[in-house]
Amino acid sequence: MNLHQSILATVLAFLFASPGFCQLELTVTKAWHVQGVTLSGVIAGKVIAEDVVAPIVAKQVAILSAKSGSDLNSELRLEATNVNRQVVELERDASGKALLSAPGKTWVEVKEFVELDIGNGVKRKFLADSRVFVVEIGTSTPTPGPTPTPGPSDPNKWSKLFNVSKQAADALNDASTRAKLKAATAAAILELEGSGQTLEQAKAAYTAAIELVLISRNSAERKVQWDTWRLANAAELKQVGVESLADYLLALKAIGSAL
Amino acid sequence: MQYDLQPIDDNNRDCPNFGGSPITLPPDLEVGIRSVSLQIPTAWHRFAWLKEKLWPIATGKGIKVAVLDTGYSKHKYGPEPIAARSFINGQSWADRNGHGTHCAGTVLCRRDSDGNSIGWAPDADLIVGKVLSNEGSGGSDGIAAGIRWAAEQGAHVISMSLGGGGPDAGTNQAIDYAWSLGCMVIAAAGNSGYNGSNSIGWPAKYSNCLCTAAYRKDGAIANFSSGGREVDWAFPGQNIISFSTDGSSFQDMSGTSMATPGSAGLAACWVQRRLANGQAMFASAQDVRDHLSKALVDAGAPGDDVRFGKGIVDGNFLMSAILADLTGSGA
Repeated sequence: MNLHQSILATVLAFLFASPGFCQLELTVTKAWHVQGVTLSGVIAGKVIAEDVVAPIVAKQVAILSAKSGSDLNSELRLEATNVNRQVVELERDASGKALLSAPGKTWVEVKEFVELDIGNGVKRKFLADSRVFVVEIGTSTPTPGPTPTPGPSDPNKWSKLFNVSKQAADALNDASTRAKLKAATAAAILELEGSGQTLEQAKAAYTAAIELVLISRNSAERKVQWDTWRLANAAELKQVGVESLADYLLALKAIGSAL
Repeated sequence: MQYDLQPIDDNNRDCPNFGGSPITLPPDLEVGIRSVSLQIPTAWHRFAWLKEKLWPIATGKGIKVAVLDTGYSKHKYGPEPIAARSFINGQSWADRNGHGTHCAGTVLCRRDSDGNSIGWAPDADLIVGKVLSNEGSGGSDGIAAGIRWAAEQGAHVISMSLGGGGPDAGTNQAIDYAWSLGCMVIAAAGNSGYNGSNSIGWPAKYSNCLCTAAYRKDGAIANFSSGGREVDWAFPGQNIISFSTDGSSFQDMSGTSMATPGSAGLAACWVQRRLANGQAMFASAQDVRDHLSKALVDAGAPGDDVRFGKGIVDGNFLMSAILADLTGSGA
């Protein structure tokens, strides 16, 4: 072992023993990847929208963000494997953050590499630290096509609402507003799910969301009477009766799927 | 045909082309500069029902109101315009006259910390079209171009506190074009008073333009307010307090010019609720007229008359016109 190798071994030994290491963290932010909506921007802070033709497909994803507590200029790499130890490919969002979309449990290993001069200007990267995190995300939840998503209580409770919403929207022949209402409905559902809001709060939030779309209609769209769609949906909601937030969310999925 | 257009206000004693004769005013209608205030000043036209009944359901939010006038000077209670353009050669859209700024304030003065405003639609967006010069005059070509431009900017309401003595085909066509894009067009009746013969100015006289007259604090029609069968409604138009061009103080002015932006602000709130409900935008001036009986209370001579038109705005009546049965439906 020459002098350089000796120093290097000492440095690495120090690094591995240093309390500055073993400080790898993985921040997991759950979000929804939405397809089937037409949007020019982000719906909400945790919704990633794609400009794709209907139907709406909402898929839960995890945004992975790793960081090291060490003050070294290091490189962090993420490697993911599934329960069968097969490699899981991570996607990247627009800002370069890793996205994990595979449902179920995934083992994400955060590896920290440091670059050291091993002599004569030759640099090599060494694995300085690693830590494994288990990330679990929900299964894919596509919003249905011709029939609403089955509910926990009565799967067919809102099937008529789907037809009411579809027929009223079909009659208006306003694809642009329809797409915006669909997107607003999808966004509202995602925001309301697990929000802990009361039924009345949820109703107010959804009403505000679609009214914003309707107020923002451009010149040609202002001529279309979307109140017929709203009134038809309201009548059906009243007829069937909304019993809970979960019930209301199923109703909104029926309304949105029909758009 | 071209004609000169003037801002309509009783304070402009030298408007030779409006109504064919200069406007004379009683001495108590002079312009007055009010002191600078951190709060919105009290005013007889600051109706309690606006704050208590209308604004909880509609403030003009999301609605674009175009004020076609002498331009605009930013006031501390006024917004930055979302679009602005001058149609006057050699002059920017900045207001060096004061008329346009005053009108803009009446449409959409923002609320103070107590929730008060001397505007009617305190959250509406402002589009500024300078179609009258700093000297207070403009041509019909510029007016027509301003109307078309404002409508193409997405304006929901156009407020024109101006008028001239004759019709102009280009202006009328521009007004029709604006309606076709889902934009209401409102103009001032004029300040020629009424002696039994029709004194409504153009473009307010055009059938597809809503025509606004002015009334006083005591509820009587303002003596300067022009009369004729074209009058659709009357709004407060005497001693109206609104923005001055110094950016912080308020000024009172009188005229159907001051009534017109009030009607435009009210229209903005009405349109906001209408669109939010999902209803279609009004298709024409006649479409609005067909709904006015639900929104107005009769004033002056019984029924539709030449001074008040179908009447004045009342908070209780207005609610029935702008609310659809969707509140709380969740759909």
